Amino acid sequence: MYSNNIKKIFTTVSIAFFVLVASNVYAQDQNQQKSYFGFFGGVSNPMGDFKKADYYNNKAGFAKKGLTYGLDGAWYFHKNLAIGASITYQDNGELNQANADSLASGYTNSFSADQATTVATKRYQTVNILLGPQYTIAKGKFLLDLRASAGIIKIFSTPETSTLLSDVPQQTALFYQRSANATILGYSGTAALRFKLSENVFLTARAAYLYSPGPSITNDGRTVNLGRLVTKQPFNTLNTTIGLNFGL
Amino acid sequence: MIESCKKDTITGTAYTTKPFQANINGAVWAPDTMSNTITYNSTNKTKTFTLTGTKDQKQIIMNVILSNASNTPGFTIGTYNVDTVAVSVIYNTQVLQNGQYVFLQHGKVSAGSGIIKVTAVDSTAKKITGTFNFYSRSFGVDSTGNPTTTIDNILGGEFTNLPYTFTSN
Repeated sequence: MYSNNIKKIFTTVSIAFFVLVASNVYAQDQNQQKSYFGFFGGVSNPMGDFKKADYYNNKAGFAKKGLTYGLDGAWYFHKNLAIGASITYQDNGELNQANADSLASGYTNSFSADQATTVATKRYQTVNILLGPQYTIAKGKFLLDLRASAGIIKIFSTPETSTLLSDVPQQTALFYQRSANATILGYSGTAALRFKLSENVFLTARAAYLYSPGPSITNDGRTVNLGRLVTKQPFNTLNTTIGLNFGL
Repeated sequence: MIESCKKDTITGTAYTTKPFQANINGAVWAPDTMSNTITYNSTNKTKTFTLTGTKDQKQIIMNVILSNASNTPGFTIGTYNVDTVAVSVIYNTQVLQNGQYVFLQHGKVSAGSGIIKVTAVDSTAKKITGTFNFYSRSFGVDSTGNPTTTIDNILGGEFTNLPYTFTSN
């Protein structure tokens, strides 16, 4: 289901984006950089609290390195100035065995339980659609693109946990940290180094830093608010990718 | 390592790290009320190690009596088999009796049906470490009048660096 939604978003937004870029390409003059579009793929690296696996840090996301890929393009409207846009899918993994054990251990201590069992399902899966101004510095066959962008992050899922405690009269029911499904704001800074393979083809290495205050997290089944309680999960990643861009 | 896009269910389980705990009939039990004493009786020249734990309507009382003991705050490291005389264990459960909740013996821990191991004693800091396991057997009669036997298994018991008080009298 997630992959179908991802495909729909990719298809719809990428068509709209390339129609926009293609329709404006004729407005370029000889002094401007060439507008371009392309694709990329690589690794999404979680950073900061999003990466941390600390039961006692409510912002810790237990996120992992994962696959990222997407489409990218820029339309130059004045010399080295452009409007850039990207559509990116990224996966930041799920809780592993050590994480689930750590959460169970943390809840055991927090609730003074004799035993805790934590079951983790689902993973971080998002699509980011970002747009922003871009400045390009050209030197020989190299072009350095610097972009600041903002947009939306469609979150398809975040990890979900359910925990059952033993011998805690105040919390006998199973309690959940639910998976989030939301559309939120995101901000990004991108640096891309393009190498001109030919007149209209570029090999591109790209680093994109993404930040978002993240989705609200729903917690169900709690009868006492002890221990780790996540109500919002900030996102923080650095996506390092390579790709090909094509001049228009 | 980059994670592949798989959808797994991961289950993590943790148990209490409390210094006194056991597994009673398959469930972890860590008492929240404890009493741990070593008492020297100068008349009988005996030293008695008594450990009591209570939680959730369950209570365990363990006793180990050393004869010809010295009047010192330590205790002899060793393996002590339940014989109901020098080494005894009682498993109590809380029941409502005459309008009051009281702990009553639930079955009997017979000779040969349990073991207590004292593995370390710090007589200066007065801390004792060891393990225990036993079973308590209770007899009854079912609704058709047939005799029944119920076994309560208390396994994997441990007390780790558990503070004790030493009394000499």
